[in-house]
Amino acid sequence: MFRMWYGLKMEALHKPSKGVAWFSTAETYATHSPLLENNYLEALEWTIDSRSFQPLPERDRKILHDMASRKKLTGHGVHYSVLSVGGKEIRERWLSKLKNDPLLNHYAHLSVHFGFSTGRGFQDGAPLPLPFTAETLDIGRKNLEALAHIVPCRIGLENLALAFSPQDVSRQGEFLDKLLEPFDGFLLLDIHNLYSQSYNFDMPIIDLAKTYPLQRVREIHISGGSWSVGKTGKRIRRDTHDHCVPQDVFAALEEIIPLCPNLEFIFLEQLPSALQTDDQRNQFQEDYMSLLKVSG
Amino acid sequence: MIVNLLRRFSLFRKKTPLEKYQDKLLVLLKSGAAPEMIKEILLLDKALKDYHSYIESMNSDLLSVGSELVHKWGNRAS
Repeated sequence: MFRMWYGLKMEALHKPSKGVAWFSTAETYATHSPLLENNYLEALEWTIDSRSFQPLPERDRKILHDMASRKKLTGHGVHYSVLSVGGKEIRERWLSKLKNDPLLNHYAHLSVHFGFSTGRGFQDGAPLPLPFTAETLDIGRKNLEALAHIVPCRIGLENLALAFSPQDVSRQGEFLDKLLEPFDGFLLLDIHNLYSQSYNFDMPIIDLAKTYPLQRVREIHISGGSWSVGKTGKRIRRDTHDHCVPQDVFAALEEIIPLCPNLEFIFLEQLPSALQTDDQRNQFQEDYMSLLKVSG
Repeated sequence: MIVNLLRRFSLFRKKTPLEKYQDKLLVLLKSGAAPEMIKEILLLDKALKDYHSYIESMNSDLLSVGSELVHKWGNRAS
């Protein structure tokens, strides 16, 4: 009897906290506040550079600080270009702003994106893939070291959806593992990003997931996306963070969770621009309820 | 000694193949050039020979997605 109780308790203790990606916008507040008020949100992810590090409005500050006080707030940066050689001044400016983030000492952990977005004349943008070489590994580790020097908590990387080549798909997991190794870093596994690559390169999603260092996964993202048609006439899955979460992504989530022994957080993401109408907000809330059901 | 100082201040810093690849790719993606032309220009650059096999394997449709993203989100440094 004790063993059964103890097993159930341990299982409950190890259940990841579920939440949403929080943005400081009216759309986000309108969509997420019912979930917050009814205690459905166990954690929040804050995109630290979504407002260019500008001070938060009081309402958002209270919500984020409250979650931080329970150690259920994670930080996520979009504009730190981990794999860029150039743009050193841009990265240094970003780190300097991060140093002054009032929540810096309160994030459970902090992630940035795999990929590069800066170069000569480009100060930020969407991250792009790079092949796994000794040189790309070296520059990635140097840029992560600079980040780790500033950040008091564990640092991590989010996998990228966009791939230009089959190499980008088959080796991203190994590349991420090697980048994170010196820092005991964590992997933020975005399952919709995996789904996009799985579709675009015709590889079963669970097989693809198993090429990633799943023991490093401490955070999972799920989101919706969209379709476009390439010039070749082939459908392409896009990681646009809009529309509903595909059933295939929920199915993959259910299979992937047991493969991640160190999982702590699962977040549902949607860009505020895709939460404008009542239908969109209702769909998001339905997706969140599905997330709670699938993840237990 | 003067050359070393200038290199230190990036005035005559020799760019690595990776940096050249990144700079060139961003400019080409922003330009709106067709993906086949982007690949051709990159493959003609002998300084990027370490990346030629990767470039040859690039998917044209997804390069177009990259162009769209750089066009939409890529901000020029002021």
